[in-house]
Amino acid sequence: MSFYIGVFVFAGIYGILAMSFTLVHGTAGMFTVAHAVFFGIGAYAAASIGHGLPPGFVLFDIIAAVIITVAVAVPVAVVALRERGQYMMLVTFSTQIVFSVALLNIAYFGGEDGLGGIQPLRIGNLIANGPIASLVVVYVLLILVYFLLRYIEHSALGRLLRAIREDELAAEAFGADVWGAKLIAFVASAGLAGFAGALFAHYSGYISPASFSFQIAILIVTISVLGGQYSMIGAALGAVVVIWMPYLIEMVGFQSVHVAALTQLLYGVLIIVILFLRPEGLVRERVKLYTEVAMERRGGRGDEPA
Amino acid sequence: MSQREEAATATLSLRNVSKAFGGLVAVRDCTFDIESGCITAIVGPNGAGKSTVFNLITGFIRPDAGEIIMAGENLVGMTPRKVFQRGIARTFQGVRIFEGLTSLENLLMAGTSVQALPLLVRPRAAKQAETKNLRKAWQVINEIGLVDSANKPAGELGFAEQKLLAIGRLMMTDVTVLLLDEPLGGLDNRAVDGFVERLRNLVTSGNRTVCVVEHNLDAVRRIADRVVFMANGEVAASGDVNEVLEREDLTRLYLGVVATKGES
Repeated sequence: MSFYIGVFVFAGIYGILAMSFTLVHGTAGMFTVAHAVFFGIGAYAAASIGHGLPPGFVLFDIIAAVIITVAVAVPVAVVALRERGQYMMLVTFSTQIVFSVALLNIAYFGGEDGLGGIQPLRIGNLIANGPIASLVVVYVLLILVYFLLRYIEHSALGRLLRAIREDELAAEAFGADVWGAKLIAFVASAGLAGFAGALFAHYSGYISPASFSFQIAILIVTISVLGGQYSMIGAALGAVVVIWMPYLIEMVGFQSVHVAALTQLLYGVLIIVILFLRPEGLVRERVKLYTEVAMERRGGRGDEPA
Repeated sequence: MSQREEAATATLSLRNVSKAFGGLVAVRDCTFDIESGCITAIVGPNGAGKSTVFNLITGFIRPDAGEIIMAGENLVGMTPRKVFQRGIARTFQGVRIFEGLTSLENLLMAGTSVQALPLLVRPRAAKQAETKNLRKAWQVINEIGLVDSANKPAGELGFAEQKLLAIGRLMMTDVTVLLLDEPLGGLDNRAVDGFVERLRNLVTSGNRTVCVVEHNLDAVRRIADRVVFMANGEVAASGDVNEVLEREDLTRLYLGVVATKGES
C-alpha cells in the first residue's frame, strides 16, 4: 500500500514540475526543452547544500536550491531570448546536453552514481518521512503552487504572456515589454522547476543524472500534451496519468522486463490519440471571465478625457 | 507645391527614406508628411512599398537612409515599443488580433498596464492601472458594439467584428498617430460605412492623426482627406484627395503597373 502512496507522491512532484512547464510553454508560448535541467539543478543543489546541514534545515536548502536555479536560469534565458522562435529550443537543448555531460563528469556530484543519503522532507521537528506525511506535504505544496500560478495567469502579467503567445509582434506594436515578460516567465518557471527538484531529492533520498536527462524533458512535454498544454490542472492530472503508467502496466500482469518498452509505446499511442481526438489535451484552457465595470464618475473629477 | 505649409502642420515627416531588401528597392528616397487632424491615405499598386513605409515608421524595419521625424525627434533606430511610447500605433494587414484572448482582453492588452516588471515590483500601482484599464475597456467595447462578445475568444468572432475589435484596440491607446494597414479589406459596403464613421470619430474626438494604406480607390475617396500616391517605392504625387485622384496620368500609372505586374 505504502508503495502506491509513494507513486502518488512522485506524481505530485512531477505535477509541480509540469505546472511550471505550463507557465513557460502553455501560457507564454515558449518551447523550452531545458526543464529537466532546472529540475536537476534544484535537486542537486538541495542535496549538496543539505548534506552539510544539521537535520531540520530542509526548508533552508530548498530555498537555497530555488535561488541557485534562478541564478542559472537568468543567463540561459538571456541567451535563449536573443532571437525569436526556434532559437529558444536550440539554446535550451544545448543547455540540456551541457548539463547532462557535466553531471556525469563532475566527481563532486557523484558522476553516474549520483548522490545518496539525502535527508527526508522535514519541517522543524515534523518529519515527513512516512509516505502519508510526504503525500500530505507534497499535495499541500502542489495546491499552493496551483493557486500561485492561477493568480499569475489571471493577472495582467498572465494576459500579457498569453498575448505574446498569440502574436508577439502585435503585442510589441501595442507597447508591450515582450522581452521582459518572457524573461520573467522563463525564470519564474525555472525557479518552480528547481523547487520541484529539491522536493524530489528530499523525497527519493537518492538522485542520479538519469533522473534529469533529455528523456525527462520529453516526459514533461508528454505530461503537458496529455493533460492539456494550456491548463495547470491539466498538467497535474497529466502527471498522475504518466507517472502511474508503468505501474499500471505492471499491475495488469506484464513482466517487469517489458514494462519500460510498453510504457514508451503507450505514451506514444496516447499522445497520438489525444492529438487526434482532443488536441487541447484532457483539460482545456479556461478563459478568465470579466464582469462589466460600471462607468461611474463619468465626467466627474479626475476622469481622463476619452 | 505647398511644402512649407505642410511642414507647419505635419505630425509625422518622412525625409528621403530608402530601404532595399537585397537587390529589391522597396522604398526609394521617400519624402512626405502625414498631417495632423486628418486622414491621409497611402495608395498605389501592389509592391509600391506602402506596407514597408508602415514597417519603417513603426521600427519593425530599419531604413537604409533618411529620417522619420515626429515632434522634432528622429524615430529611426527605435524599437517598435519605443515608437509606440512616442505615440504611434498601427494595425496590420489582416487583423492580427489575439485569437486566444477574449474580446475584452484584446482591448485590455492595448491599454496602459502592459509593462512586465512593474506588475511585480509595484503591484499596487499596477492594480490601480488595471482598474482604470478595465473601466475604459468596457466603455470601448460598448462603443464598438461588441459588449455581448466581451468574454468570447476573439478568434470566434466574425471577420467584421474582428475588424471592429482592431479599431477598439486603437481606441484604448492614448496615441496620437494611428497607422492602419488596409483597414477596409474584406468588409462589405454596410460594414465599410460603419467603419468610416468610427474612423472619423477617432480623428475628430481624439484629435488624432490617421494614416491608412488602401488600394481600393473608391474607399479612399470616402475616407481620406489627403493622398500620398506611391509607385515603385517612390512618391509619385501627394496632396488633396480629389486633386490627386483626378489626375489621369496617375490612374494610368496605377492601372498600368498592375497590368505589367499581372504579365510577369
